[in-house]
Amino acid sequence: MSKGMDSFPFSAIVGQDDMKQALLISAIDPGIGGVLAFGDRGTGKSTAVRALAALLPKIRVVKDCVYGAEPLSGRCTCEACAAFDPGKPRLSRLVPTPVVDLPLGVTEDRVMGALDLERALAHGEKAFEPGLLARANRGFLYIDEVNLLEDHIVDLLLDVAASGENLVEREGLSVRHPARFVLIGSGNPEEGELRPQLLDRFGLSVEITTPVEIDQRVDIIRRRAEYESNPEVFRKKWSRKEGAVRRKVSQGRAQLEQVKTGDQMLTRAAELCVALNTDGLRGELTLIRAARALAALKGDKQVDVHHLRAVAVPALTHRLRRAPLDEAGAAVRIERAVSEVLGDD
Amino acid sequence: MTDPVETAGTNPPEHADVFDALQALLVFAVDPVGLGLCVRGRHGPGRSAVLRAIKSLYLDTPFRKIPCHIDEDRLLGGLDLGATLAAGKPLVSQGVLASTHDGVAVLSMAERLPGRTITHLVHAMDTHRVRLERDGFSSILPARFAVVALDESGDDEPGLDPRLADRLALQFDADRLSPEAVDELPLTPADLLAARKGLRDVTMPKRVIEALCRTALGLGITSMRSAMQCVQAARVLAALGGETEVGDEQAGAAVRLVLAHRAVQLPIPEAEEESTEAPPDENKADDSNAESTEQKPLDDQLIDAAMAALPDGLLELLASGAHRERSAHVARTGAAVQGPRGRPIGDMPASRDARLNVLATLRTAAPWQKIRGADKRLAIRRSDFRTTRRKSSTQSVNIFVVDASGSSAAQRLSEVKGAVQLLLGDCYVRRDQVALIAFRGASPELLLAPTRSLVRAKRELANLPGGGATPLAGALDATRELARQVTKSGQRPVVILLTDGRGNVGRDGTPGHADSAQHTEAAAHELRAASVSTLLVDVAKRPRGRGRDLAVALNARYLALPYASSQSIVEAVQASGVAA
Repeated sequence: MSKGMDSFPFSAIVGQDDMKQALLISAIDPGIGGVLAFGDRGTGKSTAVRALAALLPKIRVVKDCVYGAEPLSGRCTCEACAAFDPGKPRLSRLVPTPVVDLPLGVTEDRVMGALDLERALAHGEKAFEPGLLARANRGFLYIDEVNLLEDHIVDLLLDVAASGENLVEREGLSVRHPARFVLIGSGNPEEGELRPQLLDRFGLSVEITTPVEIDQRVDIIRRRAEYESNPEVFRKKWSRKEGAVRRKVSQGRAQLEQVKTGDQMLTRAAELCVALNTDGLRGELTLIRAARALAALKGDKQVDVHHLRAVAVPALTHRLRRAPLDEAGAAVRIERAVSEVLGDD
Repeated sequence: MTDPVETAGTNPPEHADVFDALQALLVFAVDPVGLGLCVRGRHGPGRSAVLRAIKSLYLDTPFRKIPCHIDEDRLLGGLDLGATLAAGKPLVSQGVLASTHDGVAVLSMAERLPGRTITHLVHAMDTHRVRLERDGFSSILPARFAVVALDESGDDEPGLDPRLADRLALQFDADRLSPEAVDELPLTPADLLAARKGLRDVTMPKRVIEALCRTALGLGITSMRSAMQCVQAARVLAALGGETEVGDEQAGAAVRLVLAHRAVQLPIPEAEEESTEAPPDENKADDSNAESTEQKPLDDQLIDAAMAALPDGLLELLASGAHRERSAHVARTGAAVQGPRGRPIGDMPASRDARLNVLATLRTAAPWQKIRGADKRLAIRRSDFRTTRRKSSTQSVNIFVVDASGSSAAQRLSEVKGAVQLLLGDCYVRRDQVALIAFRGASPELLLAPTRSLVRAKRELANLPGGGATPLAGALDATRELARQVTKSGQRPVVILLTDGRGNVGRDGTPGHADSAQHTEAAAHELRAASVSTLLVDVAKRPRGRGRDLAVALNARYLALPYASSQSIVEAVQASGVAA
């Protein structure tokens, strides 16, 4: 699945612009902290995530390193990395950015890694078999139906996501390894709430609704049918558009450093968060980062009000305190504050 | 599935139901993985026959029953402790999902499946794979299987988990199915192969996709999946009929099979009906046979198809006063029970390579079952065989035949009028034409020739006085004559007869007790011979007597109008979403 080569093209997805924009922004700046896509059944949430894998630029990793460590600066404890002389350049190769599925029903030993049972039984060796967190290092970890994830797995994820490394103390093993990943989650809120601690880990959250426009629905059905009947031909047909999106992502990544954020914009972002009374600084930081990533995606050199406006809802929706006197939904309240603080378009 | 409201009574054998169920089964057989099936009803001969039929179609594939209490280990797989200890190395035991690959998963008591099981199941259904990340094992196994869910929930129970229901396109009730009908499913493995092969080449005009999308939304079905399934079912139906392009008829049938049981609302006309003589989007003359290039007619046909497949809850609704979001339609028999059309190829020796159109054949045979004395087995004769696609039907004309005589006491008459009002609302939604025949005194009277003007129909109905003798035989004759005219003009007559079945006037209009009963019976047989879809609503205070006999003589659907106050009629009118 991390190949992304056998998936529906991202560029062929009809509508769902909010989700597509959020995913692309996350791809440009993984530091934003991922995307939570919540909404109706059958709206292609997982299709979009799987399609994203094909758009991600390749990354350079130390040859044979199980954690995909960065060749220049990555500190790593694995056997392959330990074999290199310190200070000498390490052999490296290009690999696709990992996109790892965390399936429901996963057991703890497979999430964090555990004693390699086969080697233990066959040879009496005590070896560590890395888990999914190792595989997801420097990539994306995708959890479909994230709101149905079992509590002890959630705890484990929260711990690792906060520290960026996985610490294993079990079955007589003591192992630590880097585990930095962008969390992507999707789910249907009707089937269960998401724990607030986990909700807070997501940089952006988008709400997904079923399209009710006939034209859109007809397009969805026709493209889907075309894809099903011959995926190869369909992907070829979309390959130019797909290539254009892929280029936008890699150019955006390259330009992200150069995007300027003026003091005025920082002030505006702060004012917006004050007006909305968001929790802590995280919302403000996410807002700025997302606005920068969006500017980079669009090829703009400077963050302006349009960028802030476009990312306000996904960056802040899940960070609002419940307002007992305000019946309106979070998105509506943000829209109101945006037009007060940033003015209308 | 039996309704607690006993007044509605049981109907004569429902070949429309049988037909729908068999059709769903055939469609499922062609694309089992893509569509999926939910069989409602308790354990019984009908359900067993369905499972037998599915088994016989997939002889060499795994057929796994998944019990509702299955645990995660067995579902997904994991460490096989016994084998691991014996072999001295870790061995994995394959889960049920993976071992059902290329087969059929049968979910017994599917409505009781716990949420977690559903989660894993639908994930496998969506991706055709099972990801195993358990007990130190990491693997991806293929798991492409068809799902047959057995839903035993009652009408007042929640039923399937919405995530599962959303992914199963087809649904029918097995309770009313006779095992013989299923066992003789007219489908050979060769037919199945041919249909599957043909399916790849079936195209779908954009206009039909648009109409299906609009229909789904009109019925309040927002799920994208349902719309896609409906498109796929229409393609399968075309493949079964040997077509290469989906036509209006297949679209209609797909709506009946996939959308009808999901409908949560009726497409409500926007304009006030008092102010419009005709439905808002039809400002043409009453030329019903116009096959214009606009999409409207197809939309209407599709809505028609959905309505016709809705359960007949309307009159029971009156009795129970229960509010349901569903409205029902009277002419349910209309869609499935039609006279033979299309081109029979007569004698069909096996050497001929004309392809039999299974669906059309079944449909042709359906209305004749009773006459041929079929009780359980479907009686299919050579004359039923169809190889050509028949032109789809045009417009329905609902002929209301109202008994306004003394035996239908005055207070009953007002209830009858209420019921007709309600049914008129349905006709309005469906853009059907209506005609009104009333009978009392010496002879029946055509109060209203076929029209789309509901205002006029209501006015005539309101002014209808009651009392006098009951010229039932004459009314049947008049009905037959009107039905003949309607048929001649290319439309489809549907008769809704509201009476207690007690005629006391001869066919010639002379009040004569002695032979009025025979006259009535003779007239009934002649009307039946014209094979017009008929619904008899028994308005007797104590139904089940002569009304029932008359329904049998007419081969009509039978419903008893329960003893309802006008208040409950008003409530039902509001509940059905049709402005009174």
